[in-house]
Amino acid sequence: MTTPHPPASGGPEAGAADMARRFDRQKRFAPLAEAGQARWESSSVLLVGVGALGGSLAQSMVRMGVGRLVLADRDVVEPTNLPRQVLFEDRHARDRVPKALAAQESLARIGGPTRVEAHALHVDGAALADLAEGIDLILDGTDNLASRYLINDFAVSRRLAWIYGGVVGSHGLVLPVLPEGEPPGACLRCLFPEPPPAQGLETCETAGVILPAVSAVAALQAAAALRWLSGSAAARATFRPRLMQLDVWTQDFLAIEAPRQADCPCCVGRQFPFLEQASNPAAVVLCGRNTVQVRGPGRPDAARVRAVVRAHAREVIEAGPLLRFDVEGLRITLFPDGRALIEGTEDPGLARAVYDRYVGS
Amino acid sequence: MVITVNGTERRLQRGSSVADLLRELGLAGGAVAVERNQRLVGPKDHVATRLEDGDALQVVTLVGGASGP
Repeated sequence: MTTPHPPASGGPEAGAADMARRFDRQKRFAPLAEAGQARWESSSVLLVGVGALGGSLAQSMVRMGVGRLVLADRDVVEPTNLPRQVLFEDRHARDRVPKALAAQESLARIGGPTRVEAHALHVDGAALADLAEGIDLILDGTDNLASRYLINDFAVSRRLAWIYGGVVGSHGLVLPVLPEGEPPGACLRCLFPEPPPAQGLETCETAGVILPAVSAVAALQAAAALRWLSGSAAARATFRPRLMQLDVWTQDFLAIEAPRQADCPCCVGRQFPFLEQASNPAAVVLCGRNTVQVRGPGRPDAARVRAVVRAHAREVIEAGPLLRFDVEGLRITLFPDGRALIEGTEDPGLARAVYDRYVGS
Repeated sequence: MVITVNGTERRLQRGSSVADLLRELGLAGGAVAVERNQRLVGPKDHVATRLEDGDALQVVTLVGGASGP
């Protein structure tokens, strides 16, 4: 789905003049200037995950006028998102609007030249390959390490730049993974070869998260994206990426030079197990959400599903392409591609069974 | 010997390695990046790298997010 540019007030000529003036202050920043701005405006960014980090990143990309922004997110907006996910409003949470579509709607109100595309889908290896068509850089707005290791393998395998960002509590971490540069910089697996065990990390469920930490991490990611995409080949070659850690509460900041590791299995060994293993699991527990995501074998027969649901379910709502209903004490949100979010359980077996009963196996 | 870890002084048995320090910090086996005297110590070198008195270390733990791993 692509948003058209909102019409500029005062007719097309005034609109063009406004657009030329719009980025004046940005172009006065010497490292950017006219040439950098032109490179930036012709760049395409894929943003995976449009929640807290992703919302802030998307806003920066559109405000600064990147050429094209592709949004991808599998989730819907809920009330606990609102204290830090800056593109969403009460009504998005009330109606459980898919985050990618709600974000696209909010971004359209900013205006500007950026073409914004939105995809409400689960990003696996195959989806990444489709979404990355014509993309110059991937921004990480995800909330889990499985997605980061998948993106790292994918980006390194294609020699695409990507920028990792993670945030929890009041602290966060950023690493630009850039395919050029002399000496070359690290990829995620140069520093962290394997994801740690599940119990080894804090999550936003255990440690919470606050908006200033999200904003700070997203700002570092956005700045790295702007610098990389606006840079000439010579400027890119001198961009030494650092692993940056910050804590907005304790006011501790740290940046570590992160060169490529000669024994890295990924960017040196060219082994991409996370990409090769990236299957499409039938049921995924969305940790801490009391929700399971279930995937069907294909697009459901919409008319049949509606008939079954209307006979058995309560609170049946059709919101654009979505069908939402309450059944067996669970709330089901069905997407047109056959994916469903089953709220009210963390039992994949139960979620799968309910899906099969009402949507079809 | 005395070393500095993320700006805080810490006493450590002479001859300890980066891996020993991580064990003391409760970070053994975790996803941790270590910088020693402004040079990154790669994950494969944590066991072999011996620390010396006065070393300055920065230890950074991977951050997942809302859903962690």
